[in-house]
Amino acid sequence: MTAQRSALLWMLASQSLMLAPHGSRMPLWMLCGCLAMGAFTLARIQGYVRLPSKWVAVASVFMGWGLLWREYGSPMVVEFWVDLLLFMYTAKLLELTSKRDVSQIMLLSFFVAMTHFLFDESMWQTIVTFSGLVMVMATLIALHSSSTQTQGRQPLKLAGIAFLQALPLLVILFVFFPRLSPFWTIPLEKGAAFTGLNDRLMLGDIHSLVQSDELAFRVNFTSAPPASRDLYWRTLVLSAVSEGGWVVGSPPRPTPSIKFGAEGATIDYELLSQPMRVPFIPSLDRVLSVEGTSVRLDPLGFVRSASVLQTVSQYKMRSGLNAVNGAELSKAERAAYLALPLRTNPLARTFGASLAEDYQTPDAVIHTVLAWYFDEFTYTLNPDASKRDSIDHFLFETKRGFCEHFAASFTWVMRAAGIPARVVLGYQGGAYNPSGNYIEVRQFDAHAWSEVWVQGEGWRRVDPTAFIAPERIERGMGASAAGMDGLMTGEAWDYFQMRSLGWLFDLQLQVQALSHLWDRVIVNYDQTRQMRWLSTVWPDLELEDLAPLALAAFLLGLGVITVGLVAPPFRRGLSREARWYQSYLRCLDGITLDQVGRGAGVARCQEAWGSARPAEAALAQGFVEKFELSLYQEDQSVSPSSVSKALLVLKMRLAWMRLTGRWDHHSQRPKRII
Amino acid sequence: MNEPIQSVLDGLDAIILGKQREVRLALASLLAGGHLLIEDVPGTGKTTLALALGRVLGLQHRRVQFTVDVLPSDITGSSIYRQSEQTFEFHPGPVFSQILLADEINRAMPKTQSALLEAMEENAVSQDGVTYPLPSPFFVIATQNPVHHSGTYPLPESQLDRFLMTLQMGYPSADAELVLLTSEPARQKVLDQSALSTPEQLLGWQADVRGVKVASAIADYVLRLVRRSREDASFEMGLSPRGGLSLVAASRSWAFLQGRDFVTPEDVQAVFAAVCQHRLRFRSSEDRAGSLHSLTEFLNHVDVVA
Repeated sequence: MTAQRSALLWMLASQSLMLAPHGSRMPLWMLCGCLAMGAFTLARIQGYVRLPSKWVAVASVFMGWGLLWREYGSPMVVEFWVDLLLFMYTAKLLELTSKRDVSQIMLLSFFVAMTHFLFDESMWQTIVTFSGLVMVMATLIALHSSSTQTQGRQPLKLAGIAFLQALPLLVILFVFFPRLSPFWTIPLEKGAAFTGLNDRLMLGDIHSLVQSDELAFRVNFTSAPPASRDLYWRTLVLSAVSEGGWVVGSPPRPTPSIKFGAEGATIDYELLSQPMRVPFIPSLDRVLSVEGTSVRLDPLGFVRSASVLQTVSQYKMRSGLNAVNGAELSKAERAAYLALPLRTNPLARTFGASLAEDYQTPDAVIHTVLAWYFDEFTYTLNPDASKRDSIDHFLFETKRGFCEHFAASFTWVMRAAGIPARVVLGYQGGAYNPSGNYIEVRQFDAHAWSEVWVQGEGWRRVDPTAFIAPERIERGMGASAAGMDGLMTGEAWDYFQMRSLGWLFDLQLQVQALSHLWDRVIVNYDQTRQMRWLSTVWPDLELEDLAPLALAAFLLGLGVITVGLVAPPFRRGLSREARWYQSYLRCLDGITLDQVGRGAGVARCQEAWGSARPAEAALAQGFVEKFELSLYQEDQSVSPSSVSKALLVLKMRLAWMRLTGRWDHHSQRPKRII
Repeated sequence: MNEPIQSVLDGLDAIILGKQREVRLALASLLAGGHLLIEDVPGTGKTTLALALGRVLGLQHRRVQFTVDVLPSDITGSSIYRQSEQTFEFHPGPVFSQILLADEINRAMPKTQSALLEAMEENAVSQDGVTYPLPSPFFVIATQNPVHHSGTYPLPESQLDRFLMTLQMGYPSADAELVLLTSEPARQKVLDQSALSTPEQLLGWQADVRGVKVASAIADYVLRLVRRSREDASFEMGLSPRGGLSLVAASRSWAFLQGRDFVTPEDVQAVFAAVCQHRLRFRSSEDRAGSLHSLTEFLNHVDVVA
C-alpha cells in the first residue's frame, strides 16, 4: 500500500509540474478546477474522501467542455484544444482506480509536455519541461517497483540517471532528425499577448511600450557594433494621417530610378527577433540586403515578412550607415508625403505655412523648428493626456512630450511647410552584452523619428528627440530614465533598478547571453541550418539522406546503450575477477544480497538466490562453476574468456527470463490501488 | 568425500546430537593439527565431544580435571628416585597421550596452565635436562567455563593464541534435546562406540589437508581480512601473523571436510569466527558505539573478491 501511495504522490507532483507552465495562461476557472481536483485526489490518497459516483465525473466533464466552449467560442484556436487536453488530463483524476489509470495519466504527460513549446520555446521552459518529464519517469518507476525500492527519493534518482543516459540520444535526434514542417496549423488566438510596435502611431502608444522590459530582438555584429547614436532600428514607415494618428497608409512605389547607393562602410549582422505584432522586422538604418525565410526588402527601405512573426526567427542583414538614396521624388510621391487632413490641428498647419514663407530653404525650416523645440520644449516620459487636436495641444499648450510627440508634430509641421516628410517607427539604441557580444533591444527602446525629403540629398533622418534629450540617444533609455527619477513605472523601472546592482546585473547579462545562445542555436535550428551544419561535415549530403542518417545514428546510439547494459562495466582499478563478481551480483537484482550481506562469496549468493528464485539461480550455475574453477582452483584449462562467456550467457538468459516473466505478470488483471 | 571421514562424522553426529557444525569444526581443528578450546557453561557436552573425538578416531586419550591445586608435574609427569637402581626415573604424566582432555583449564593456576601450554607448543616435555617427545598425533582439547565464573584464572592472550580454534557448544535445539532426554546417556554411547579410524589414517588425512589448494585469490582474501582487523578501530588488537596462518590451515581442513581439494571464501568464512574469536578482542562496549558488533559483521565489511 505504501508503495502505491508514494507512486500516487509522485503522480500528483509530476502532474502539477506539467500543468504549471500553462497556469498563467489558462482561464481562471480552469486553474481553480485543476487545483481542486489535485486537492481532492490528495485527500483521497490520505483516505479522507472517497471517489464520487460516475455521474459526478460525467457532469463535471460536460460542464468543463461547456465552459471551454464559452471561453473560446471557436475550435479554430490552438488554446481551445490545448485547454481541452489539459482539462481531460486533470479530470482523469475523477476515475482514478487502478494502476493502469496512473500509467495512462503519466503517458499523457508526455503529450502535455509538447504543448508547452507551443507557447514558449525558451531555455527556461525547456528546463521546466524536462524536470517535469523526469518526475513523470520517477512516477512510472515508483508505480512499477516493489515497496522496498521506492523509499524516499530513490525513484527520482533512478529517473534522473535514465534521463541522463538518454541525453546522447536526444542530441543525436536533435542534430540529425529531419525538420518537418507541420502538416496542419491552427493559429494562436488573435491578439496574442505580444508586446511591440503597432502599425499606427497614436500619441501615447510608445509611452505604454516604454513601460515594458520585454525583449524585442538581439543582434550579433560580425565586427564592432556601432555607437548608440547610430543604432536606429527602422521598423516601419508611417506616411499617412488618419483619425488623428499616423498610419502606414499606401504610399506610391518609389520610381525605379531611385535606388539605395551604398556609400561608405557597410555593416553585417544577424538579428534574432522575438515574436512581433506587426509583419515588419527591425533593421539598422539603412538596410541594403536581408537573408531569411519569407522576408523581403520593401522599396521604402525596411524589412517586411510575409506574415506576423509567431516564433523567434533569425535574419542575416547588411546595412550601410551612411547610405543615401536617389535624388528624385515622383509627383505622386511628393503629393502623398505632403498630404494633411484639412480639419484637424489648424494651428500647426498655419504655423508650418508661415515657416514656408519666412524661410527659403528646407534646411532653414528644419533648423528653426528644431531650435524652437530645443528652447521651449521639455522631454518627459509623463506627458499630459492628449486631446482631440493633440498636435496643436502639444505644440502650443503643454510643450511637454516624448519621442512620439516630437516625431509626429515635427512631421506634421514639415508637411505644412511644404517639405515631404514621414514618421518612422522603430527602436533606438540597445544594451551591449559583453558576455555574449551582442546588442539587446527591449521594448522600452521603442522610438519614433522623422524623415524629411531634401532635394538633391534624398530622405534625411531627423530625430527631434536628439535635440531635446540628447542623452536618450547617446546613451540609451537607461541614462535618460535614471535622469528622470521616478518617471518610469512598471517592469522597465525594475529592470533599470536591477541594472544598478553590479554583480546581479553581471549575472543577469550572463544568463541573457545564455538565453540568446539558446534562441540562436537551439530554437533556430531549422532545415536550412541543419543542412548547412551537416554539409560542413558531409559535403554532398542531400535532404533525402537525412531520414536514414537519423535512423542510423539513433540505432547506433541504441546499440551503444545496449552494449553498455550487457557488457561488464568499465571500472578503473578493479581486477577482472572483481568485475565478474560485481557483474554477477547485479544479476541478483539486490534482493538476495540483502539476505547474505556484503561479504558474501559467489557460492553463498548462489545458495541464497537458489532459495529465493530457484529458476533464475539455476541459470547461473554454469557461471558459478567456471568462476570457482578459475579463481579458487586456479584450473588452467578454464580460460578467462570462457568465464566471461559464461557470464554473458547468464545475463542474456536472465534478461530473457525476466522479460517474459514481467510480461506474464503484466497481463494479469489490473488491481485496485485506492 | 572419502568413506572413512564420512563414517567418522556420522559416528560423532550420533553421539553429539544436533551439533553438526561444532562437530565438524572440532574435527577440522584436529585435521589441521591444531589444539581446540571449548568454552561454555557446564553441562553442554564439552567433555562428551572431547571424549567422543578420541574414541571415534581411535586415539589413546587421557583426561585431566584441572583444579586450583593441580601442579605442573601432575600434568607433565615427574622424576621419581628409584632406590633399587639409585637413579631418577621419569614417570610420564597424562600429557603423554594422543588426545589430552584438559577439563576446566581455567580453574588451574597460571603456573600449571603454562606448563601445559609449553608442552603443546614444543610437542615435548623437558625434565632434568632430558627432552621427552610427545606422541604423534598429539592434540589438546581444553574446556573452560566462561571467564566470569568465580574461581577461574583466565588464560592470557599469548596462550590463547596457541589454540587453533575456540568453540561454543551452545544449548541443543528442542528436537535434539528431546532425543537427548529420552535416549541412553551420551557417555554410555561414547563407551560403546568403537574406533572408526586409526592414528595412521589420521596422519594421512593431515597430510591431505596440507595438500589442499589455497589459490592466490584466497591468500589475498585472508590478507585483506588480517590487515583490516589491524586497522579496524573496533578491535583492541588485530590478528597476528600466526592468526593468519591458523586461518589458512583451518580453512584447508574445512575444505577437506567438504570434500574439496581447494579452498573457497566460504571455507574461510566458515572457520573465521572459531579461529579468530579468541584472537580478536572487541573494545569495551562504551567506546564501540557505531562500530562492529560481531565477527559476521566484520566479514561483511571485507570484499570477498577484489
